[in-house]
Parts: sequence; C-alpha cells; structure tokens
Amino acid sequence: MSRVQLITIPIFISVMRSTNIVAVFMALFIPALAQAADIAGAVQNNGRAVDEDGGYFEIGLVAGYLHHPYQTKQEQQTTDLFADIDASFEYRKKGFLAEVVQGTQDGLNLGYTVWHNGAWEVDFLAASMNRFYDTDLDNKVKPEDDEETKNKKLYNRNSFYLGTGLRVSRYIDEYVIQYRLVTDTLDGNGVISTLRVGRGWQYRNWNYHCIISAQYTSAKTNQYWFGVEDWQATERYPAFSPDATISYSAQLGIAKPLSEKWVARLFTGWEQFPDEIRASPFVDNSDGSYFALTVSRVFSSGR
Amino acid sequence: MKITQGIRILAFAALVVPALVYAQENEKLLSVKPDRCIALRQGQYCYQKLEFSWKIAGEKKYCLLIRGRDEPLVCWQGKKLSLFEYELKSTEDQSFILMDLNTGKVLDEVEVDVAWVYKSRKKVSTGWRLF
Repeated sequence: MSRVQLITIPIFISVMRSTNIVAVFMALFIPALAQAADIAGAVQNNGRAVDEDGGYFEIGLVAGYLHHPYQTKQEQQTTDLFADIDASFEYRKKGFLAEVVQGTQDGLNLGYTVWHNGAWEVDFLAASMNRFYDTDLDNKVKPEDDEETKNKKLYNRNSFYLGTGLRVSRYIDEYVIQYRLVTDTLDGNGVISTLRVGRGWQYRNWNYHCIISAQYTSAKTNQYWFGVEDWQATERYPAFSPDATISYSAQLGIAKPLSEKWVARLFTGWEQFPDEIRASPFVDNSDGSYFALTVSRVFSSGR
Repeated sequence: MKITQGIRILAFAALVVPALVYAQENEKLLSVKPDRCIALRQGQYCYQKLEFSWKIAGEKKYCLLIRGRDEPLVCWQGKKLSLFEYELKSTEDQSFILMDLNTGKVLDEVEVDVAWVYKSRKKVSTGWRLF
C-alpha cells in the first residue's frame, strides 16, 4: 500500500516551509512526466527505455483532490481539495540515478542501473523513499502515557519508508512491465514488492498513459503503518495486527505541451485499501483516490 | 537655387528608389502560421495544422512543396488560391517552398521548426556496468 505521490513536490516545499517535516511526503499525488526508470516516467515516455545521461527539473502549480483513508496527522495534511507548488526531477549520470517523477507511486529513488539493453533494465535502488517522517512530532508512545496522550502520539505516527532493493523493467513496444522488491533499511519495517504494467501512447500532441499495479505488503510493514500493539492500545485505537496484504491500484494521466518550456498534466487514480487494512483503527472504510491538474515549467538538459 | 533643388531630387531618388526595389525583391511572398510545432519529447511526431498564405501578382501556375519532395502539396493558377491548410506530422524541421511551375524557380521559402519540451540526452552504452 504505497501511497501515490500526486504532489511530488510538496515534499520539498513542505520541508522548506516547515522544518518539522523532514521527509515529507512523498506524498501526494502525481503529476509529472519524465523519462525515467520509474514506471510513472517510463510510460510517459511512451514506453521507451531510458538510456541517456542528463535529466530535467520542473516546477509548477498543482491543484486537485485527494482522498486518502489513512487517518494520521501527517497523512491527512495533504488530503481533500488542495493547491500547492509542485516539483519533480530526474537525473542520470554514468548509471547513477536520482528521480522523483510526477505520478510516481514509489517516491524519491536513488540508485544505480546495473544492466540494461534497451528492452530490459535492472536497477539497484539504494533508497526508494516515500511517505512522511516528522522529527518534531512526539509519537513515541510510552506504557505510562495516559489515554489522551497515547491517542495523540498514535495519531502523530510516522509512515516514512526507506526501501533498498532491486527494480527490473521490461520494455515492450509502448508497454512497460516493472517489478520492484525493496526492504525497509531505515528501521526494519518489512518488505514491499510491486508489479506494475503501464502503457503510454500519443494522439497528436497529447500524451496518455495508464498504469495498473499489484503490491504485496509484508505483515511487518502493515504493522508499522496500520497496527497498534497491545500495550499501546486505547479505546480510540484498539490493538490491531494486520497480516500481509496484496492490493491493487490504477492511474491514468494526460500530458500536453503548452509551449517549449511549459507542460500541463492531468492525473487521476485509485488505490485499493483491502479489508485487512480497513480493519485498522487508522483507516476509513474506503479506498484512496485522487485527481490532480498541474502546470509546470520544465528545465531540460539535452540537445 | 534650381540646381540645388535638382540635386536634392536626384539624391532623394537615388536613395529611395533602390530601397523600394530592394523591399519589393525581399518581400515575403510566402508565409505560414504558426511557424513552430511543439511535441512533448524529442523523437515523437509533432502534429500541427499550418496555414499558408502568399502574395502573388501574376497569372502563372504555382505550387507549394515540401523541400526535398517532388510531389507538391498543392498547385494553382494566378490568384485562384490564396490560402492553404496543411496538417504537419514530422519529427524534424520542415521547409516549404513556393515555386513558379513554368520556370521551376523558387520564389520563396519558409521553415516550420519542430521543438520538444523534453530534449534527448547523451546516449549511453548498453550492458553491464560497474561505475
């Protein structure tokens, strides 16, 4: 259950605005385009593999609607109707890659392309980061805390996930199939594995893409995000220990150049919250969904 | 006094007449709107509806062609046609020429640029890599 990054940048903006939030986001939604190995970028590149050094940076405005049923303080900072600054980038050099692509569901990726041949690409992901971590929020629950304090600390919980692992991409015409396996190396919060299939296509100067995903989330990761230990439990947040889950998501996007420097994009998507997770006291009985419109100024390296 | 006026008139004619001739010779006969097509990524086809117009006085036969191609986009006689719309689909800049069909002389030329938001970058070799 990774969260879709609709607003790729609120990450950075939030960091700048509030030093509390160290890794913010990686949160919300989506919007962007890019030539990247992240499937959100690859499909927007009409399925072409990335075999070029260089990159781009883009910054602009995003507005839309995000419904995220995960009810924690940090996760809910970016829900409902929103308007914000949005930015994303992608850079590759001698196999090293850094990317946070508009529309990504994987967040900020730092890694290295170990092997590729145009049809296949194998990337080592040193850090694949998403969701939230706020160092200033008190969220360390203690056994001696009273009910109210526990509730507040539980609501303040972090969700930041720093994955390390492998990503294998297969490019077939305008299709991209991508498998990703990462384990949390920040705090041992379990394994996530995703299989995504995407397609990009062009109609006149409009570029469309869609991605469908299946994600395995280990019981340990689900516990980190959605669980409550017996000794932490309160009336508001009763004890809860989820099993591993498989969940699905889908995304549609449209991009159109407004000029040689400006691009407009539209994203919409759905993210399943399976019954196992909906039983968590942190989760509403609903799936996640989003809709976002972005307009970005692009700074692209290249000829 | 009369001699001085005569010199002034001659000087004026010497300056203005060549300028008018130059202006006529260099007047753009062929124009296109817009003259730029923007696609998202380099290598993609760019699509753009182009509107060509021209200023021709004679009654000869003329043709509009894409440079490098033999088959004309359109041909006409005299002023029977003054506008032409064309759907561009290209991955690279395109030059369009206005030709006098009788003499084969190119009367004017315009270029439509194809540009991209995301430029191509330096290609890297395939295979295994270790830094």
